[in-house]
Amino acid sequence: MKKNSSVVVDLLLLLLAITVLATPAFSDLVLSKVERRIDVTSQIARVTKTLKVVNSGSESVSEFTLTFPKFLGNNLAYLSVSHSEGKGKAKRSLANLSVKEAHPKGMPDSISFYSVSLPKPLSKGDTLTLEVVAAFTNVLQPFPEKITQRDIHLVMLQESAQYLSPYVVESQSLSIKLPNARIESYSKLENTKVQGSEIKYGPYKNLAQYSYAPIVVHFESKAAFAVAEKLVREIEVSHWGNVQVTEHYNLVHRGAQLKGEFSRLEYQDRPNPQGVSAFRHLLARLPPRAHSIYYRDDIGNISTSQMQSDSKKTELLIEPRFPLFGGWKTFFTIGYGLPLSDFLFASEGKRFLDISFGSPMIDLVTEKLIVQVVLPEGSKDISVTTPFAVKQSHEIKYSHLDIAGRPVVVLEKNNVVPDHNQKIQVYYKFSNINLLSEPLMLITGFFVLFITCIIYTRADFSISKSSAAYLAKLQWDEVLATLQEVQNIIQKCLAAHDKLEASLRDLSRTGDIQTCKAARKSTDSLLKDLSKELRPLLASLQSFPSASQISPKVEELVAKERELQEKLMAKHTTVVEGYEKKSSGRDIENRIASQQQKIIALRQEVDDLLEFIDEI
Amino acid sequence: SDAIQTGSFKIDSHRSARSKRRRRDLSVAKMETAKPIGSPIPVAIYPTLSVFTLAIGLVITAFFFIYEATSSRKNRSLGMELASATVASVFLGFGSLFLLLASGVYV
Repeated sequence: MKKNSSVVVDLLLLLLAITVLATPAFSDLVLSKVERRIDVTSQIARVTKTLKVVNSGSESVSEFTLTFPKFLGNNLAYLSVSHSEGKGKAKRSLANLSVKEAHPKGMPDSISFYSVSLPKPLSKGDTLTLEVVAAFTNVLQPFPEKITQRDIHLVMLQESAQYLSPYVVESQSLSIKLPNARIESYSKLENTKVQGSEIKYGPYKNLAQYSYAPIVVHFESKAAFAVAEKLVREIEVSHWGNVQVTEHYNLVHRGAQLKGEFSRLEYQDRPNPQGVSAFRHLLARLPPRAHSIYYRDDIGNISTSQMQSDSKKTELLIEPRFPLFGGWKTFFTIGYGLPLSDFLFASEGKRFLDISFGSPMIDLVTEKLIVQVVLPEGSKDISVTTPFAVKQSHEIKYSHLDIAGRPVVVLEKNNVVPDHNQKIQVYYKFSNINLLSEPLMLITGFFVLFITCIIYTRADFSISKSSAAYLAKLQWDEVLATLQEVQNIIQKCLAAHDKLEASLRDLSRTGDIQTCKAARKSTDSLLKDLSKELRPLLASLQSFPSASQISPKVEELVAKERELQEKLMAKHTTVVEGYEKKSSGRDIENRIASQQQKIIALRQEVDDLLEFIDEI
Repeated sequence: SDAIQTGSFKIDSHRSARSKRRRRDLSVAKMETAKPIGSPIPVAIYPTLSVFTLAIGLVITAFFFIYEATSSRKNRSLGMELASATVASVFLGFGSLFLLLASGVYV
């Protein structure tokens, strides 16, 4: 009731102002034809005006003034003016013209003025067609303001049947498109027609400047009056191939408030469910190839959602945890990932992110929209281009693998309607080398771990350097070292034995005795060298008291190895002699049979001893 | 995304055709000269890459620790230790980076 009375007072003031005004301070433009279409099928009142402007004065004009009554002007969310050419089907909409709010002197406060700069000055006698699109929020007032669950949702629109303009209007018409539902009442002026769900006022001819005829239309609205009190959209760009968008919604139903109780029984009663004023579903249109979509709130995941995707868009239909009646609030978070190459482009040495500004939900009015664009670490020279005015600021966000933090551009705008869902561009400079800093950090982390291990195994953490246990440990280390060297030498000896055997096999294959003899000689000398190396090691091993159990085994190993050596040499000589005498293969075999058996047994024992030493 | 079922539904839309046309006119000129930027490595091979680099990294880590355990104090060579530690940490670092990327944490 309070809102209604203030509006009526405004209207009266307006009429007063109009009568007070004498000659206008504006130029002599004449609007030859004005067609207005108001679409109130959703919660936003969208006004589309086609104005034919004729310059009937003597000077050329480069500015055009649009006016709205103040109560509409305060709720103006989106205004765009363009000029078009052609008629009917051949109509082409040309560039948008810049519109600025203006405060001309001497004009009453109850009218808002907007000044449009024309593309080229309109000279005497020329005509120009302007198309104006204006979107208003909060002008569909719920009336009655409080309803019960059973009532239908009735809203009221207050407008003017005659176009309020600082210029003379020759002919105008207005058509209001209502939703396909009940029309409670509407002002009946002359030339009023109702066709289905459209009310037509006009045509009215030859009106003076600032002519105003208030009308009120009271009708039922089935639209969802979903308003996001606050929407925070975080767009995080990662050059590894993903743009992650996270949106936090605080949703409220701004229609007629629910009074009385909510009865779930009546709400779900079939065939007559009670609760038409509530809405359940919200549809979001996401870009195509959106992946990893989640819909959750503080309690957890919300499973009442459906997704449908094709090559042009991804549609997400979500249902909050409860239906929203007037005055009810809910909050949730939607997140999705987008492929980087769809949104990040390079031009003239800079990169830019081309992404939509507003919420992807259709028909959602946002009272306060905050868009945070998080760019990767190392981005420089950040600038933003938007098709409409926004408030910009900069922040720093610390996220995964960050050293200095990521730069964030924060864009704020109030009163955002779906017409604002246009693309904005964020320009910045980034070189791909900075991408390497992230794996480098991980590599350094792992390297520090390894260095710690190295230091630990090398450092001496004993407290007392002269205790018996410490000295014993030192000695044991030396014993182990000596054992390892002994092992190495024995392995080399065994390798030499294998070479001898290989030379015997070569002999049986090629019959070349000289190479065989040469091989035997070289192996002989090698084995002599190795046994010389072995002697000091054995001596040092015997000197250690802690190695008293091991040294006999080691000596046994060395002795066995020597025996093996001798036997192998003997066998070799026998075989070579046999070849020299050209005796048959079987003869040779018989001669070395017993030797071969012993060799195999000895080899087995040597291997066993080596294994035993290994395990120490 | 198991929480979201795919299905079909019917909703009327209210977007005006005029605002759609206007949006396209705005940035057409700029987009014609711009070329899209993607990731330096194709996103589809992140999981494979992470498995292979982590496997190689872990094998070299195993070699490092076996060397530490079986060599005696005298025989250990710092060069060998540092070399295997460096190579292992490079592979493990890249492997864990690709693992993070493949599991959706786009760092």
